[in-house]
Amino acid sequence: MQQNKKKILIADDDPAILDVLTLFLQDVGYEVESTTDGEALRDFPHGYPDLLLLDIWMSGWNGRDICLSLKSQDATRHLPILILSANRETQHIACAAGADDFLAKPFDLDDLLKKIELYL
Amino acid sequence: MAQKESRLLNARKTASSQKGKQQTNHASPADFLAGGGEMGERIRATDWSKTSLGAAERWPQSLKTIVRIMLTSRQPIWIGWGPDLIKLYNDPYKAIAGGKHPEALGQPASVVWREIWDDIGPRLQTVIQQNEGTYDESLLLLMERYGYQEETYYTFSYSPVPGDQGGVEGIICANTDDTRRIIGERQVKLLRTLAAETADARTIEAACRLSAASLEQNSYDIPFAMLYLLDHEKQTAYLAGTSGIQKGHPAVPEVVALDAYAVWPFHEVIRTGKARIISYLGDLFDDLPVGAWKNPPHQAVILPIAPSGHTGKAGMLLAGLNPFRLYDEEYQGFLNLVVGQIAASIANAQAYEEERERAEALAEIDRAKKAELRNVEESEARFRTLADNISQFAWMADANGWIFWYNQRWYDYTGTNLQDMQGWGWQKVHHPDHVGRVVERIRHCFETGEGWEDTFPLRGRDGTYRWFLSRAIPIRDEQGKIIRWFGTNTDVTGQKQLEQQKDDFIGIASHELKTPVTSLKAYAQLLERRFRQGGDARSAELLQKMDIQLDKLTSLIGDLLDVTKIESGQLLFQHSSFDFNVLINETVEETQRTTTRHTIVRKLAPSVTLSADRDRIGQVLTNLLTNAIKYSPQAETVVVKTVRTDDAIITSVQDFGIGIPGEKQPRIFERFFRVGGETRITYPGLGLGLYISAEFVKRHGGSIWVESEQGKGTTFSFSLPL
Repeated sequence: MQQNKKKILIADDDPAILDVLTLFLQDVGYEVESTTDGEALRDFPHGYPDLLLLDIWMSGWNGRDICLSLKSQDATRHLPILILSANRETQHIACAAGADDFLAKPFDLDDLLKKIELYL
Repeated sequence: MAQKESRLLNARKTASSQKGKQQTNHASPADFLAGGGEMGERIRATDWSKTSLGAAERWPQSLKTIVRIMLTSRQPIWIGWGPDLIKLYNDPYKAIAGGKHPEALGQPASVVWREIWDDIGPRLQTVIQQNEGTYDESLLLLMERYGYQEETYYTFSYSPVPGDQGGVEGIICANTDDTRRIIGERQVKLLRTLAAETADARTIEAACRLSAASLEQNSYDIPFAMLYLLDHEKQTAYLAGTSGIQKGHPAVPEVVALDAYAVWPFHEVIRTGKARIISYLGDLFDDLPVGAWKNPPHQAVILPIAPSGHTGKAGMLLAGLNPFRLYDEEYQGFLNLVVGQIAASIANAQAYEEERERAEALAEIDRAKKAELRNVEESEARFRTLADNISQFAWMADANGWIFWYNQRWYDYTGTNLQDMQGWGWQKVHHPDHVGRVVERIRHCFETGEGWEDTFPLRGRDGTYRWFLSRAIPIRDEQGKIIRWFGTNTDVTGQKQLEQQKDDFIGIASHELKTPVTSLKAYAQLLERRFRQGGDARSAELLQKMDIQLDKLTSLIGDLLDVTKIESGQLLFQHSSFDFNVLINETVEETQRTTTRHTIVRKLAPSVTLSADRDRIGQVLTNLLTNAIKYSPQAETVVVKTVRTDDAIITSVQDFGIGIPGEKQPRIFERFFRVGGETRITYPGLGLGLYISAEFVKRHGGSIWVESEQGKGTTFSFSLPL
């Protein structure tokens, strides 16, 4: 596909979702990185992604705090963050934390793709 | 008239006495006939030679003597002389002769007194034949002196008078007319009896019955009588007592209407308030009672009985009249006294009844008060026992919220005493984080009279806090004024923990269930894409079906979560503005994907923009559509229709399926309620969809309802405000 693949970082504490989303997003032509550890989002050892898929219910450092932190730093302020949550009521938490978008689990891959394409 | 007559008589008397004086002065041979007033004159004027007595001058000495006695006596005296007892009488006797005077003079006694000859004939016979006197006291004699038979009473003696040659030649009779005395006495006696008999009457009914019965004592003046009382409401008079007449008699109806068609014209008597005479009784009724007489009354009188006071009973006395007396002033006077006495008896009885009722009412109140007091004491004791033994804390405050009592449980838990706690002292055991709010809210309730409810922690004697659900209600008096407050505190610590645990559990469970479903769904969709791209359309279709099943699972999990949120009040809506028809179209298309049999037909009004939770409204639509499909397995169409009203948009989802029995329709929106099919086919689902839908609609300010006919289909509709 493209030479300059956009990179998506997925942070979720469920390895299965990381696995399937990685496969899917690679299928549609993205470079994908994933982590189950919220702490890994503090310093981005592999460089900044073009978009962050973030589960709100992360063990360790939770999604809301991560989002708040990233949106408050110059380096990451413009990083699009799409929050995923099994609880649709947390949408307002996501918004309050400065997330760019929200998607309730479970979701259709098509919907996920549409949302990603809005930002990439 | 009477005055004139008596004047005339006086004039005559004067004239005759002057004549008498003259005659006495001239000492005529008929000296024995001197004086004697009118009768003296009449006897003198009579040519006795043409009678069986012969000329007066030749009358036997004994006759002359008794005539002299007669004419000079003030007592009514008559003399019968000779075999025919030719009648001579004096002035005082004229009143006794009545209408027979003056023709009676010189007539045989048997002719003059033909109507009472059966009574007096045998007596006179005895006197003459046995030469013995007779004496009768107050003998009833029905004389016919004025053209009618008249009741009279006489005390009289017949004395034999010898002739000059011995033997009995005649009789002399001295009379006393006792009529007025006898009648007067019996009337007074009746009035006395009436008063005495009814004195003890304690009810109106008894007063009437006894009054009427007393009248039987004087069946001369009242041969029969009926007493009626008025029922003003019913416009009737009802029989309250009888005297001398049987109750079943046609003249004695139990109830008499107060109108012109009634047997007795009571209505007239009431209207005029005056007595009314009924004549020709014999024409009206056969077999009327005769009372003391041999003949029934030919007249009756209806006398009004005046009510006493405003509430008194009014009535009527109907009395048959003595056939042998004129209904004159005296008679009227007597009956008026009778009626007056009856009215007084009724009034007395009524007063007594009222007094008794008052007394009974007072006694009843007294009893009730005592019973109430006992009840209060007992219930107070019961209440204390109960209050001290319930697991809740209980307390009471006065109208201002000043607490004056706690149950034992309160002291046991807090380790305090009334001294510390009374009034507003309870704040000492409240948690500092909550006490401000608690005081503010309870004060508001005490001021406004609203019921109070709050949940807060209270410190126990061991220093730990537990949570209490607390309520208080005002107790009001009959005027609605608050007299005290009654409050309770229920330990809900366990409940609160359980609820929290349940909420946590459901939340975690939903999350934990959703997580694998999310990856399952993603795997299925990923595979589907890959198969489709690889040209394996059939495998892709299978995975699409799998995806639909996963959606169902997701929806069930979602329902469970939603119910938990509704129950725990954690349901939050994300309001946004959206185009309603776009939502309907999306939802219909999604649902259409899940069925091959049904076609969802859209009949939509022009779209509106709603401000609502789009996902939740979409969920309602999905619910109704999937229900419609689920419960119409044989049908091929489901109709979605919208109608716009002034202030709402109404959405209906109609199916042509099994329908819902009428008796189940009201329960259809209850949690876990499921409609079973007639054919015992079970339909999958948790029975939560309609409950959740109804809650969503209601919390959007709309309403939801169902119309259904068994075997024809069901239409669910919901409205949403614009």
